[in-house]
Amino acid sequence: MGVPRYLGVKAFNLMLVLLGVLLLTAILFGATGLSDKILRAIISEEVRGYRAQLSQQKGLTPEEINNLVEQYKKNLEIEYGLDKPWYVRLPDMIRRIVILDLGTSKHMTSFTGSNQIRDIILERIPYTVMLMTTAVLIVFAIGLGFGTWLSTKVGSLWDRGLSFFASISYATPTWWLALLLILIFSYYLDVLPYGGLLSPNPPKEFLPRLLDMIYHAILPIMTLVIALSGSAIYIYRSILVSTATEDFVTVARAKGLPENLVLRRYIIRPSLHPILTNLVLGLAGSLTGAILTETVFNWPGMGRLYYEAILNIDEPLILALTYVFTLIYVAARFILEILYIVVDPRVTVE
Amino acid sequence: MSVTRSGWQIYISSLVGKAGLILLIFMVVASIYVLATYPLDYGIRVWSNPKSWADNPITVPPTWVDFFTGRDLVTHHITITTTSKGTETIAGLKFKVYELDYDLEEDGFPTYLMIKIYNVSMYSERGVYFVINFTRPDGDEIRLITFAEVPPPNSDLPYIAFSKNEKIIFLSKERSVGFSLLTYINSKYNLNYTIDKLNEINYNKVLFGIPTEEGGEVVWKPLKGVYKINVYMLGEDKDNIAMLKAVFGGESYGFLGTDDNGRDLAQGLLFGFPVALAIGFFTSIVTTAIGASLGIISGYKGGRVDEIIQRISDVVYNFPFLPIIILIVFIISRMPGFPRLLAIFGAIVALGWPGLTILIRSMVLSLKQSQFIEAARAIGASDRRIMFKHIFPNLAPFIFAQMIFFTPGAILAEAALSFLGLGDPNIPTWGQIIEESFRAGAALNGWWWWVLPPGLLIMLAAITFVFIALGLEPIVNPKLQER
Repeated sequence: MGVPRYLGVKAFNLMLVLLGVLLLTAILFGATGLSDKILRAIISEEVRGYRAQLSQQKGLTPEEINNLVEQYKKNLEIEYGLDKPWYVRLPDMIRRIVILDLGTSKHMTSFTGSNQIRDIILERIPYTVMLMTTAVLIVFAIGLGFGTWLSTKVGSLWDRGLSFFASISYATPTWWLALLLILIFSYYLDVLPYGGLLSPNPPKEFLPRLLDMIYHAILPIMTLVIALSGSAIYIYRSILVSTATEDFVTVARAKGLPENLVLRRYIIRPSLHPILTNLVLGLAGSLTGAILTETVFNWPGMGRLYYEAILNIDEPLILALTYVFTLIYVAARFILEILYIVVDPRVTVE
Repeated sequence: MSVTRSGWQIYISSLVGKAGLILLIFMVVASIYVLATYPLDYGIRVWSNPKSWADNPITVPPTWVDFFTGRDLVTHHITITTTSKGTETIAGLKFKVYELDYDLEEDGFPTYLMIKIYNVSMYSERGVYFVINFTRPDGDEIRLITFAEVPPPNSDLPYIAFSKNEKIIFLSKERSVGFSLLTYINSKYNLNYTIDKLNEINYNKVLFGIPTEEGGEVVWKPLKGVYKINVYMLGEDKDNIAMLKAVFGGESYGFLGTDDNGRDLAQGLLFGFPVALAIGFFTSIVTTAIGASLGIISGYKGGRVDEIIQRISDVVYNFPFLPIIILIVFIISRMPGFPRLLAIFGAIVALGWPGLTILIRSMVLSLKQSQFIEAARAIGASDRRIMFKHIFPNLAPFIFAQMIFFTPGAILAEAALSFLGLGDPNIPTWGQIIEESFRAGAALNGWWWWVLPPGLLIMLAAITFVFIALGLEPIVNPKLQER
């Protein structure tokens, strides 16, 4: 199987995932009558605009305006398909979600003042990516570093301590850990801010502003690193241990190769495939995990936006965010497939 | 091949297995206690009902913090009386006297003083007249407040006042109490306090304290001893107060403190045990049942059925878990009257099954090749019989272990969803309690007793099942590898 075909198959499967999510959301929204509500809101918004526009024109009696508005509303209802049941509108609903044509948010605006959902979301993505990518990369470094070190000490006290630590960290809700760290570092020690992106009166120049942002990011990143490191170390250790027990490693050692070289070329190199899987899935997963961490720290990314949308019962925004999260997740999975080919030539031969 | 005696021995010999079992027993016992002692509609009737918590101090730490603070915090105290002490004649008028005692033993001030009067029956349209006096350990008696209560015109006698809503007097806030206190301290201690100055320091410090001089400043120190609140009632002889209650606000409360509604957190957190167990238990059973049966059918039947099940499970398996589950719960709970916890349960099941389906299918595929299945087929056993009687029993231990392994995930997912505000505010789950503490800014205010315990309990519940799963691993895995 050639590379393009291989990637094609993977892309197709991931498109199915995306389609599955869209279908699920469309059915959920349709069957519960929510989609009707959203469309009605969009229409009444447009009708209001139309009425305002008409009332500025001279020479129209109030009856004429009313008639025109009524006609306009009927046309819109037909155009949006409100006269038909929801399952007939399904394809159109999916199309609207795909191009993020979801109208306006009821309660939220972007930092620049727009209430278009697309603007709001696009503005927030960088903050989420910034926070989460940093955290995941730190976790990766810690996980691989300690994982490699521990893989040479299988069965030792350190090793057993780690598996205990890993199960504790699995059982710890990240969002609760966040509250705990706020309690310690913001309340008791009073050394770190409890949330937000910048100080109340942020500096204007670029560098101080960046430093201020980093200062605010310490606690969220620390939370994620503590929460995720345990299982990361455990996973990387397991991956490396399973490679280290392979015969070719024993042979390499028997040949008398220096331990450093054995580790690098005979253990880590063949393990790159699962290591990368973990890294990229961690990245993709962390973006969705951002919902909880950003919520606690009031970090203005997509996750916090999701929370605010829930609080304000803002259906169109929730719908759009779910789609964007899925899109990012699927995109990360696709990048992973490409990386597989790069690190492991065997993949294409399969 | 159920968990055999030897399997049990393997399990119990492992440290994590033992720990998991002990924790599980603890959780079950706590749940049974709750089910036996709490009303079933506890959430709506008690927890979310402000009336049940009206007497409690707000956001105070547990009583045992005394141990660390080095000073005994004033404990919460309620004195109730239903009978009159007798009558007393003052200036020719016969008053009925009710007495409420309080012994201040700690080195601190009660945070507030509140008096509640219930069901006063009046046998005359002239009503009754109340005088509330306050006697301090130093023997001084202060008249705090006086007021009259008259039945509405043309009402039937005896008229019962304060029957629907009890009369609540916040003695430590009431303005007229302030003026009485002002006269008292200025004359007794030669202070030149104005009412504004008095309002700055709380009345409770004046009620329960004495002024001392420290470096030219007046500092109020608590006065230990027995205090008495005397309620004098002037009216007909038969006129009567059904119940009187005095609440001396504590600086600490109960085993785990209170939240911003004065709710006893220990009570709510205890209620969380059966809820957490039920959610973990039912979601994992249903999820495992669906996942395993689809896996067995998919692997055994093959062909078209296999293709469809595999496609769907692959798609659902790759859904981003949190956003989708939030979406599902959010939409379902928008339907009026739909129980939120049921929505959460349904959503976890809907997204949780595919992992197991994929795993089980691959196991069934290799099991299908074994001779005993072939033999069963040869003697004409039906597909259903083979799947239930031959394939399932072989996988049962593995499926059981997977079920246990899924449980902490379900408990954590429920907590996370509740924390995001998607839970049922009428049912105190641990996640729900943390959500409320988060909204009230508990961490920012240092109300640790409202943040730490619920999280620790979530961890405890999750770790219980992680430990059990780890203990089961050596039993389940080698046998499967042998095959």
